[in-house]
Amino acid sequence: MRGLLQHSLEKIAWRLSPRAIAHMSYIVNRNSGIYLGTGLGAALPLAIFMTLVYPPELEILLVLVLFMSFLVSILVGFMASQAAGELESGETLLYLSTPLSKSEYYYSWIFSTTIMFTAIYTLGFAVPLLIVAPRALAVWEIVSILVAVIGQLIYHSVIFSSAALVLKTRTRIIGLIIGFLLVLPIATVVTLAVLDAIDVIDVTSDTVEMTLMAYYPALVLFLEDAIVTWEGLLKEVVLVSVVSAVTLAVSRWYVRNRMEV
Amino acid sequence: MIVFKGVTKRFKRTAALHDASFRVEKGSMAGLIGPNGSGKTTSLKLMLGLLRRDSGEIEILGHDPWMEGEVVRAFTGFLPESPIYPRNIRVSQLLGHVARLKYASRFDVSRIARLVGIERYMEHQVSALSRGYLQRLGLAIALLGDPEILLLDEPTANLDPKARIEILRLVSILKRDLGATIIISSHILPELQQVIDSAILIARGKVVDYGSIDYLASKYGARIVYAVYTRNPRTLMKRLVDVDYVRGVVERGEYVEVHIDPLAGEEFLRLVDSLGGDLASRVEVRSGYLGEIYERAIAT
Repeated sequence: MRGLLQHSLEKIAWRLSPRAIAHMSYIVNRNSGIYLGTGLGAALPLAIFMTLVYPPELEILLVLVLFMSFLVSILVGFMASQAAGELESGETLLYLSTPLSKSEYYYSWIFSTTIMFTAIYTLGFAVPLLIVAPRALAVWEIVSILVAVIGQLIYHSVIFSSAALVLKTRTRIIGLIIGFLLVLPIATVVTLAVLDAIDVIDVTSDTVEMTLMAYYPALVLFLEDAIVTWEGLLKEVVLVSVVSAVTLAVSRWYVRNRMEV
Repeated sequence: MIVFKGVTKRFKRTAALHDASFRVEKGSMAGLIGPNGSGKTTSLKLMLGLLRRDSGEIEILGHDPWMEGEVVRAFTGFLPESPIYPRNIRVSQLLGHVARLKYASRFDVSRIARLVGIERYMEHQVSALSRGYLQRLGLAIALLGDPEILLLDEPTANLDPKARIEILRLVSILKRDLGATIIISSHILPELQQVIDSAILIARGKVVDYGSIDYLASKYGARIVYAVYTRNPRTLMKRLVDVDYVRGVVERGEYVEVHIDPLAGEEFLRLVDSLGGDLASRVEVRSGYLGEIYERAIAT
């Protein structure tokens, strides 16, 4: 197990070559305004609420988490559309005509979106709490919400950033994001309701939750019991890990073997 | 050395390049000649490993560009036809980033900026540069890392005449000073013939012929035609008829039409200059040999 972990870390470090790191810092630098402004803007309302209303009222917390997870996912989608726009306009040619490989280019976008949003979101959430009510960070309900939403953030970052490099146009990626975050969850619930109504399948609340988890893992966990349980978090970790690993593997294969500029 | 062997590249059902074979020798300056849509940009992108060939073999200094793209691009500089630059970025920031990707130093950035003449604009926004200077910026990006191979895709497209002359002069200087292998794609042949020593003739995705200008000119019997304006045509004709690279002189009223070997252009212009204003007041190129070579090559 330890050998496997070491091997994986070495592979990641090898892939994150100095060129990939240089390009990642370039992307972060060029989009620092978006990261800071929007990241903090998304995290702060929750932090302020928890600071003012402590211990937090779970119903209000639910609404806030619902709003925030959606907002942060939109922001992740916006970053993905930046990547797609770069491919669409031809700016990518500028970078890929240098020794930067297509895989390095891909990883620099994936990591600059995932790592930066996760870091800013976590800091935006945790730092105000640490200052005003540090004890809150030892409360399971609060920490578990943070972990669950970060899991969802990583999940959406990997899916949207990978899709951006495959779909290659801003319009397509915006279509995908709207479809993934708005249309498909509603369409799924409606379809399940119709199938249940005409007795094709027996739809339970568990079925609906499990299906919706594919779109909003953290939110569904929270809706289940109004607090996130260990079991729920484990479920999310497995889902996020499996989907992210498969998405990264498939899109990396595509970028390396099929992507043309 | 750059080698294409039976390379085909399709975009859906359209063959952008079909069974293309050619080679470019190390240290030469080759023109990739053909009209728009003939497969020039596709060829250059295949050389960089940015497009995947459907069949055939490509070798760039012994490397397969699709399999070893980053290795090939480490010794190759590329100027796209219409480079797209990021918004809200200074020239120095952009060059600095490309230098990091090419493992070039800050000193290299200053040296290249001086070489292409954009050192005064380093702190300007890229979006504030004129077309001519954007092209110089593209050239600087291509030159960072001192590439052994330089691929220039329509480097003078969309430029005014003055900027076109300056860019071509710059390319000639680069060839002389850096000794790199240069491939320039263009459909503006009179300009191109001033700088290249070999050519790849391409039409509708097929390579019609390739080789040194000497070889192509003798194969297709091409000549450069100059019009030399004079007050004394008879004397001028007598003076020119014995010059070894002059292949024909015809009196045309106020000027004399002179047909010469394609590689003797510069020598001929020096000769005309030495004749003085009375015998040769003005000289104009009437037809370039590249156009002639191209026309005859695609006709056969």
